[in-house]
Amino acid sequence: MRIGVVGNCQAAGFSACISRLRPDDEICTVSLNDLKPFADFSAQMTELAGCDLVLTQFIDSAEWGALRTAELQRSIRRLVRFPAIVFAGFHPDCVYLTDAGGSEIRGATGPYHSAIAVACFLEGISVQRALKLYNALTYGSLGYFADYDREVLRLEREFSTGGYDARAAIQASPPVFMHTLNHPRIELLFALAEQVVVRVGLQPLKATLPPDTLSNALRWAVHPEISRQIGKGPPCNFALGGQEFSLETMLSTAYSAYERTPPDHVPPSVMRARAFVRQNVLGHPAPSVRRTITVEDVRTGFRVILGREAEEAAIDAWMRQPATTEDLRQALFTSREFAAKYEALRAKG
Amino acid sequence: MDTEHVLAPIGEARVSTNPYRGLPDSAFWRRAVAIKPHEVDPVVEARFRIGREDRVATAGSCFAQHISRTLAARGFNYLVTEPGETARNFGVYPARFGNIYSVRQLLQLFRRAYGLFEPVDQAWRREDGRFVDPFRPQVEPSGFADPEEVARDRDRHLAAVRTMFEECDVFIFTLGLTEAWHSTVDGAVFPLAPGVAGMPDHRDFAFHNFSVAEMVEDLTRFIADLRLVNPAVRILLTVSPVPLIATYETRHVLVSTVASKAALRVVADEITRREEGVDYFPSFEIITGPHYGYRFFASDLREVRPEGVARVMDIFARHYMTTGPVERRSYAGAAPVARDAAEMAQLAQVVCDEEAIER
Repeated sequence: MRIGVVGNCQAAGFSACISRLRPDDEICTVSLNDLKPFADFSAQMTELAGCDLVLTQFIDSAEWGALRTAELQRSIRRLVRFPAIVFAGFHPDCVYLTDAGGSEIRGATGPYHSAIAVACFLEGISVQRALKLYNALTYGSLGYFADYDREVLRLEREFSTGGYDARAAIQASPPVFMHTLNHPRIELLFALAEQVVVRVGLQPLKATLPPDTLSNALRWAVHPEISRQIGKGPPCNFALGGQEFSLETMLSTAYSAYERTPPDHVPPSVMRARAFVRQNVLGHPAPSVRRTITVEDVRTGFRVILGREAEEAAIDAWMRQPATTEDLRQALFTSREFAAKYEALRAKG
Repeated sequence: MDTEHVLAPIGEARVSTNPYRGLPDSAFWRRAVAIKPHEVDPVVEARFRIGREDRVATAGSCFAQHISRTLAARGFNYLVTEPGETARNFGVYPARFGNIYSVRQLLQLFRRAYGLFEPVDQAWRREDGRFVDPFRPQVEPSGFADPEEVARDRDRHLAAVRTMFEECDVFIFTLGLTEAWHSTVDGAVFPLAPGVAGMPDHRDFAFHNFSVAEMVEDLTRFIADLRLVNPAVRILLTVSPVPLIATYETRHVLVSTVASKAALRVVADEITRREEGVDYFPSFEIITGPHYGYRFFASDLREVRPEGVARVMDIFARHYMTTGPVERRSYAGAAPVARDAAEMAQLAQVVCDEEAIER
């Protein structure tokens, strides 16, 4: 039997599971990750047309053309849907961001960002101060502890519309069953694959798990306070390619990314985190690292202190670094150029 | 008394009786106070019980130290999240925060522990040149070598404070003082007046006597925040019976003491009436009530004698301690929504391109 699988980044792992459960069947995988949007998908369509059964996630974005579920329904003999797994219960602080042009902002943590980090950056809170806000009070205030239960209910609804049982799949998986918002651990994909095989009337073999292909991609941290409150653990740090890195590293790299590409369009969860920071932190003195200086500040500073126009290169240099007007003033007053002018003026009397 | 209010609920019964008839002995002074002193027990009904497995944390003014000391001895599971040498004041409270005299000080400890408040005053120099933490100036008898050492110890300490707030099943807070000294720069409240144990290098501090309204607001805020990190915590409030050692108000210390204690008692009453999972334990009444004729105080008329502490703890154990099952429930209100349905729906549409990370 030839089985086709169409889906996002989860398709490869899901296919591997199907392959373990149905070792005698031939599996044809079409992963959107390997394709370019708006491309010619005729080769993939030919492959899928030769399948006895095609399993697909729900795909309706125009960029995927003939691979959209509505299109496949017209062209494929037997098409069965399985859910794409998105679950924020372990990572309620994790968000996607876009820049002013609507393009995804990518940093050291790929497309994933911390709502608290973005909020702190936008409010001018230093990395060191922001670090201290990753705690139970912030999480509780932002509703993060309640996300797990809500997400389980949502996942149950999504699974049940396709005739699947999310709770059973979760129970068959480790307590922390996601690497990121949209990267399930292989155990959860395997449990889902088993349900899909049974649902289409095939006999699943007792099989061992295939390698977890998503485990080498980014792992978003499960903060200890969240792990404790939702009763699911163990907590874990951020990791990429199996290499762990700290919250401080995530924050520093995120701040650098935002300096380069300011996050202009933020989701509601970032706005809520921003309101929390404004209300609870900024009422008190907090050192600012936000670039408060403007091009006009630099021009004025050069005119008033050095008595000349600023070169474009100098303006660019100032705009590239996080600086305040006080930094500018200090730098100009202590420059050799100012000292020389001062000496010349004094000599003139 | 508002007769109409009292009589109204009785309806038909008021023809043959009065609203006090049939009330328990505890409602009548003659039967509940003017009796043998050791029979006076002002606790009528505890709102919750404390099991032997429950982790109990305490904080407050110096009378709270008596409570902490006797809890473990009486078989309670006294929580210590910052262990260390007794001589360096570890173990006096769950974490080494020293006495917390005012409600604002408690609220600020909480906010400092969770990174929401970073006071300008970070370290004060003592007369011997050593440094102290302005917010717990007496916990380290030999002081700290420099402000950096103060900061390092404070980071460890505040982590232990967070653990205490998040892991305790019962939090007992003894309200001690209304009079306090605070920074005029950022409002930071100090446990001791500047100069008593360490001196700031500025004069930006002032005296403040907290009003009932301020304290009710602070305690309400503290409880709401505590419930965010620990929704099931049960809270027991007490008022310290220890009189003020001195007042900065321009009035007699006895007048200030009575005003302070009355205010604190009202705060405890207000909060207990309006907050679920919060109870008041009358240690103040047990010690200062007329039934013992002030005999629980030492000759300085301030210090509480061991017999007084023992009496308080006997009554406490009788009403609150249990070897049986304990009801545990969440007292938190509705949790805020981290993401609304629209945001989740948007997330579900994401087709990620993780290969960019993996490469």
